[in-house]
Amino acid sequence: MVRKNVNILVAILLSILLVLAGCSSKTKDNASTKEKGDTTNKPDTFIYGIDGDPGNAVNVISTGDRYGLMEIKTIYSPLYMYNGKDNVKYFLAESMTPSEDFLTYTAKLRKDVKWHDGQPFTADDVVFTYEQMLKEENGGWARSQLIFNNQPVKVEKVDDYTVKFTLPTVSMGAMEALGNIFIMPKHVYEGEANIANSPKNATPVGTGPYKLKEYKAGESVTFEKNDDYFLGAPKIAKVVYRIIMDPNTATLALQKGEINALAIQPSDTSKFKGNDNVAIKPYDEGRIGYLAFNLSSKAVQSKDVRTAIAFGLNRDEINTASYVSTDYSKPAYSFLPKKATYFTDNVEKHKFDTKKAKDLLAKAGASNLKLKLAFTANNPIQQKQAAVIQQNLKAAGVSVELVGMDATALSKKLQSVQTDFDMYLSGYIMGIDPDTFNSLFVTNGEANYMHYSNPKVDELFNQGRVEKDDAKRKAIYEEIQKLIIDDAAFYPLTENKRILSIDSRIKGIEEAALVPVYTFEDMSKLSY
Amino acid sequence: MRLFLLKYILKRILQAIPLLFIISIICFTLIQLAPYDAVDAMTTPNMTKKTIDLIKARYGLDQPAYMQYFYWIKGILSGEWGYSIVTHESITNDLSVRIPNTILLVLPAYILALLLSILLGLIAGANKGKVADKIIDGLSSFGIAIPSFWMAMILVFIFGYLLDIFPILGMHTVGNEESFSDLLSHMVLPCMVLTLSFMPELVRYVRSSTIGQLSEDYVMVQQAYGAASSWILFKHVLRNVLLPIITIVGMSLPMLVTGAVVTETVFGWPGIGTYFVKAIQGFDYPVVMAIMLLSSSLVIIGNLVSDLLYCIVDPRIKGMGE
Repeated sequence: MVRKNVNILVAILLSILLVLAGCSSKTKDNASTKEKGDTTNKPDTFIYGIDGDPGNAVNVISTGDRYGLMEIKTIYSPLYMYNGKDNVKYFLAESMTPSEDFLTYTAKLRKDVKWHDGQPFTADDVVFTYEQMLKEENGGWARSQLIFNNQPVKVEKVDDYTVKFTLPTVSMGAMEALGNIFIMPKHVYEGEANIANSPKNATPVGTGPYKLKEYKAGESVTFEKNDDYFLGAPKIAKVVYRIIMDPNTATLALQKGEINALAIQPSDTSKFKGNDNVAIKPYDEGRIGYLAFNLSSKAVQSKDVRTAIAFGLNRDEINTASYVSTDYSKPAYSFLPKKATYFTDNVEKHKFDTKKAKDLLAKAGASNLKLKLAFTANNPIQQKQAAVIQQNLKAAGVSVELVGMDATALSKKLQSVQTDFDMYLSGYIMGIDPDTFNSLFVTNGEANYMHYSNPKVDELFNQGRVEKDDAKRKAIYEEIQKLIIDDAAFYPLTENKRILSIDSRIKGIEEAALVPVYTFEDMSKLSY
Repeated sequence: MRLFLLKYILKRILQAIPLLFIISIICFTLIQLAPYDAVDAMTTPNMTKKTIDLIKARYGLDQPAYMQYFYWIKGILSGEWGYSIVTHESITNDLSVRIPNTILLVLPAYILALLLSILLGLIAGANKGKVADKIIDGLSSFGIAIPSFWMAMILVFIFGYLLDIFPILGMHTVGNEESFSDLLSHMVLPCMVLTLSFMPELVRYVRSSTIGQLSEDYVMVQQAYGAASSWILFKHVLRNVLLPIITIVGMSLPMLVTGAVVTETVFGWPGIGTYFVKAIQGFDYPVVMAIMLLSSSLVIIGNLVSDLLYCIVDPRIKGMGE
């Protein structure tokens, strides 16, 4: 009898195998018929691989992570996107005009816009959104940029399609600060006490090119096109953000065609060389990767020591080691990225010179210097940067101990005053107007992790914010860029690109425009 | 006798309750001891102190630790596990989607691994020192030594990319969510990886247990009666080998939650594993606590279940209590 059981067991196993084999061949048939279909009619789905889960509570107020914001960009629209002084892309607004004295900005709204549920979009929605963003307890991501000199901007409805923004004081960065905020429907969220945890976030109602169809935790976010989109119906019927945590699997899936787009590491680009199905599109995010000194630590408080170290570093070698090729990263010399207003690279470049570094160190009386360099341990780029820095400085007679840390732990350390390390590697994506960078460098600035303080820089940032004359403003920010580099507490390494690898059948990438964070400025323009 | 059994079960369950309680305290304390402030996951550097205080108050983080513990336990007992502080999604919702996904992967793989292991282990044990044993034992050693993510990548590369037989991503092909055969074909590769990674230890366990049983007197008696060796193996030895397996199966209960963390990450399977890893990276402490509590409770429950099963299956245990 037991014998019989074993036979049954074997039979079960065999049948399981058969079933599995059966369905595998079936899916293969499916896949091939699908491919056959592709050549005759166009595919209707665009699948974008992402390595994070945006969650099911995405809302325009409290969501601030990259993938959450990508989802928001797909569903909602802002008044306009500020991409540069002469490059403002209008969405819900038709225009945004400052007054002569730069104290009020007036937005004229589009009249033809409908929410996904068919309700008309009006000035009430705009005023409601900015009010919610300003409410302290909502924890809105853009709240601090709407506060000028400790006072909030005042947002008023003039008529159904006109909104007036009144600033408490002149701020030349206001045009940028007031933009890029996505508008949410008042008729849906009105009276909601806790927006971040509201169940309404699971069924978002937006004005954007796509509507949320389905969110599957840890798996995917699916969107379907909004035929009433005010800038024209999207050309691809369905967009899917597919969550893939493992970069190796994601790259294989792209090679195989299971997904259509993915952001990849520079070292993975070689896998797509000669692959006609995938196009590599590196694009600028305005990100500056840098080495900075922790000025709480005594060893690096002397400017001479820091200058010596700056001369001891081989910027080009560090960048080639980490980003493979200059296609994906350009050397950075200023704290501003190239597309920022008033960018200049007319600053001290600290050209690599080991001998000079040694001489300067000897003069500063800092021989046998031992420093600790902190970086994010599981970041492949920073690992390589750190290794080259260690080698460079060894040649200059400085021994560097590498302190690899967990990302959360490092950012926690950076936010406090500590002497656990003397230098650290990091990066930022800020904005276009140089005033958006001030929190990194002014004394006690919220993001001033170096604990850097130069009264002259503080003063110039304050002047720059209110200076209405363009030429004078330019001079101020060029001066700031020089001063910060001269102090040598901040050593910009690279302005690196994000590398989007995308199905080469996809057209309209130029019109859709590749932008920081969101990837596409207007997804409705993509087509097969 | 039956009354005794009930009493025994009741006693064991009552014993498990304080253990679960202690585990909840340990989970909570460990998280409190972590060198982070939970509020960091929700704030950005450009928020003012006042905003941060308001956020702290909203999530009860301004309360003393024992009050936070009290709120947490109260929530868990009433089925309200709280919200992720990173995505703001309800943890109860998230878990109710992800746990079935993980079970769908782990359970078939484990059952398959168990059946295959028993078969292979018996063969190896019965042929101790012969070629079959050497192959099976050798492969098991090999299997134990291979990290599962590596095996997963190799299988993905061969079957998913080179041969292109199976899909490598997630649970469904986009637009084909209802199809059962599509789901099955997505399951093949991750299940294979899990089966192969569960098997080696089970095989070795069954093998050594078989060798032990074969040297028992009752086997010699059967042999003296002239019984066929396969009959002895499957009729008598198998039963005795299966007994300790119950313990192993019971102790494997937590695997239903955390058994596939690595495999899920490689295959983008939307289960508990990817959720847990993401939560740890983002310091999403309510999620980390919930999963820690869940999997450690399952250890206790697993032990309890295997003890109870054992006492039902093996009459000798019952006798020992009296």
